[in-house]
Amino acid sequence: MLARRSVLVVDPLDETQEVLRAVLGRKVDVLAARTSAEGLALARHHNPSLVVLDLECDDSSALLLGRFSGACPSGPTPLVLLAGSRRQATGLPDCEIVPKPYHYAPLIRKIEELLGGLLGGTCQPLRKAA
Amino acid sequence: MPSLFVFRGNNQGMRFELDGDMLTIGREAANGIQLHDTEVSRRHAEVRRTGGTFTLTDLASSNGTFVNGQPITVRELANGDQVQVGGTMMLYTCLADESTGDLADKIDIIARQQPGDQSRIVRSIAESEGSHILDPRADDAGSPWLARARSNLQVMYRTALAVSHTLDIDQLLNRIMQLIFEWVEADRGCIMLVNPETSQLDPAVRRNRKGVKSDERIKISKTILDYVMEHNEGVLTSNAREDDRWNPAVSILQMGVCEAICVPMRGRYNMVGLIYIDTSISPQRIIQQQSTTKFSDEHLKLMIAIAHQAALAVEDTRYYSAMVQAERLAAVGQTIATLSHHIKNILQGIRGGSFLIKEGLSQHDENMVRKGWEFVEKNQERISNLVMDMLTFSKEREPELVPADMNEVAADVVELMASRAKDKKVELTFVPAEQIPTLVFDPEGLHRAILNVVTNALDACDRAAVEAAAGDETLLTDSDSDAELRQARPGRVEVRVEYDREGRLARIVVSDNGQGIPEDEIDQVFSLFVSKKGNRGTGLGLPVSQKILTEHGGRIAVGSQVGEGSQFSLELPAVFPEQASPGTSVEGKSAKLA
Repeated sequence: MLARRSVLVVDPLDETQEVLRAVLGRKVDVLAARTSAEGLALARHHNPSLVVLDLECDDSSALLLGRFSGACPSGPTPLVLLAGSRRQATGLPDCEIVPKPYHYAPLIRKIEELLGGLLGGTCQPLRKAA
Repeated sequence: MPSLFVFRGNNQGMRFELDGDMLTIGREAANGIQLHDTEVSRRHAEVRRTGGTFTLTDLASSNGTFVNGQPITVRELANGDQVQVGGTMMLYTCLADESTGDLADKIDIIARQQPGDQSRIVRSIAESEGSHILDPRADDAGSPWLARARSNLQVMYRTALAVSHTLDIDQLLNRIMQLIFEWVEADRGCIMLVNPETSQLDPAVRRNRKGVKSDERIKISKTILDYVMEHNEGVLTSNAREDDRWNPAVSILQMGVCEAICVPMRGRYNMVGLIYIDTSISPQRIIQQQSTTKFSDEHLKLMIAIAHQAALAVEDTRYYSAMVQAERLAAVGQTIATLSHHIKNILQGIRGGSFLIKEGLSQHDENMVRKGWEFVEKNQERISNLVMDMLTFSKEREPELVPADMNEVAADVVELMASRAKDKKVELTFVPAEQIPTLVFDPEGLHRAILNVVTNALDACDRAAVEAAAGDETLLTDSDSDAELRQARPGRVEVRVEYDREGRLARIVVSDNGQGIPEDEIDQVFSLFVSKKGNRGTGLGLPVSQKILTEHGGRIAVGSQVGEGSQFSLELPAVFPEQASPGTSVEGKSAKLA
């Protein structure tokens, strides 16, 4: 039996963790961390399919960004960055940028698209697009 | 560290530290010093470290690079140089000698009894005696030159004093003009300053000798003004037709000025303005003194010296004002950025709550709706607290003093925070003072002060629990991880009210068993916008609490030990109702705490 896919959410806001857990948790495991250091440790340990990282999480989040992508044993992990602005994300590795404050529906759609692609198209979208 | 500080332009208030070997200045983002100025080229100039100094090089920019008003191609920068690129003005600053290291290692203050100290006081003179060296002496009579020199030095000494006492340019110029009138017998005088925007001369100060009609307009020959400004020379005219430095302009003759002195105010960098005085000599006076002149070359020279001093002072004052304004703008910008960040997070929380409510309703999931509503309420509370803290911190509020029960105020806070403590699995206890009289204080203000401290204490316990086992990754993989951690180390917060009858002191002590504050960070806890709570903290709570206690003539004492917890003691003088009268501040009724 295949292990369930997982999404790692690194964000200090309870609300973000809770919303993503409530919606995505039906199909995938949702791991949550409040700091980038905790998140990095979880990424190494649990090999998530996708990482959602708040760039304003703490002082280290931007510095540790490159290590998130290579932290998973199975290879590069797609990153969705929640950034204060697109400018803040200038020069960062190839990843999806979602400027804050964001609406949750588009964010979830973006995550679902990425997860669907990772599953080779065999995975149906978790939710219908609004 | 050497730096370029922007004091004029769109980047006003920004300081660029020259921490590398080479930085480029330009409009593009790739430059180390990016200026938002359309008059600046994409790559305009570069600053390169050469040994212990920095050299500025223009990179063939469209509008050129200027140092102290002069166009440059390559120029070694000196401390205080003003660098202009496009419409942006920057000040270069560096320590005179950065290799001096810690001066404390190089200067010894020897104790009185130490054998190395052989010095003794031979003579002493009071500071006020310093200027007496310039007083006229009896032996000056034999040397008129010496007497004049001493007199001139006295004038310059007083000029230096006059320009050093104010940061108000109008006041400064008035003093200069007053000084000139005390020293020279002028009828009228004025100071004109160059308007930086229009480059035109604007009158700044005007003065008349007593007895001279004050409503009479001063007419100054444009020929004279232009000559002074263009040649950077002072001029004395008593008879324009005899002066060969300019043509016998009609304007001079028409005005009928008998004598005038006009000198440039040349500053460190630019022409700041000019000083003009004039006088007329009556026929009776000419007969009396057997002379047709009042002004001499010596007057002219001294006026030039005074004008230079005044110009330097004007430049310094303008520069200081620009610095203050720039710093103020930077502070406002920083404040707005910080508050925007907090508000953005609160908005994000509200959106999260709203999204869950919407999802819960569509899926008939009551738990999801409830969770969403909790988030909305929590963030409503956060925005409310943020606004109240901002209001409390920003306005010069007087405490609204009324007789009140301190036990009751503290109990209200504990009751309000009980549900949050429960959510965080923190034990929140309240110990009222056994006997405390009704005291006069601002109950609403004190409520906020205690609330902020208790909120921090609960957060400290919450974070302590999470951080205590952060190394155990497996505990952090699901939503129950925090709860498990809290069980491993339950948080405790105690709010205790104390009354010290002898010391006439009331005290609210908030203790927690959180992670504690490192010793070197305790001084920062009351700094504005400094928070160790990440996105959950605004950095306003403790500064607001401190402000409220200070308004009561009190203080907040902090004790903390890392790994053990912290204790915040809110102390305020006990003021009894019979002591206080309406509209009287607390400070007026009780001594402030040391």
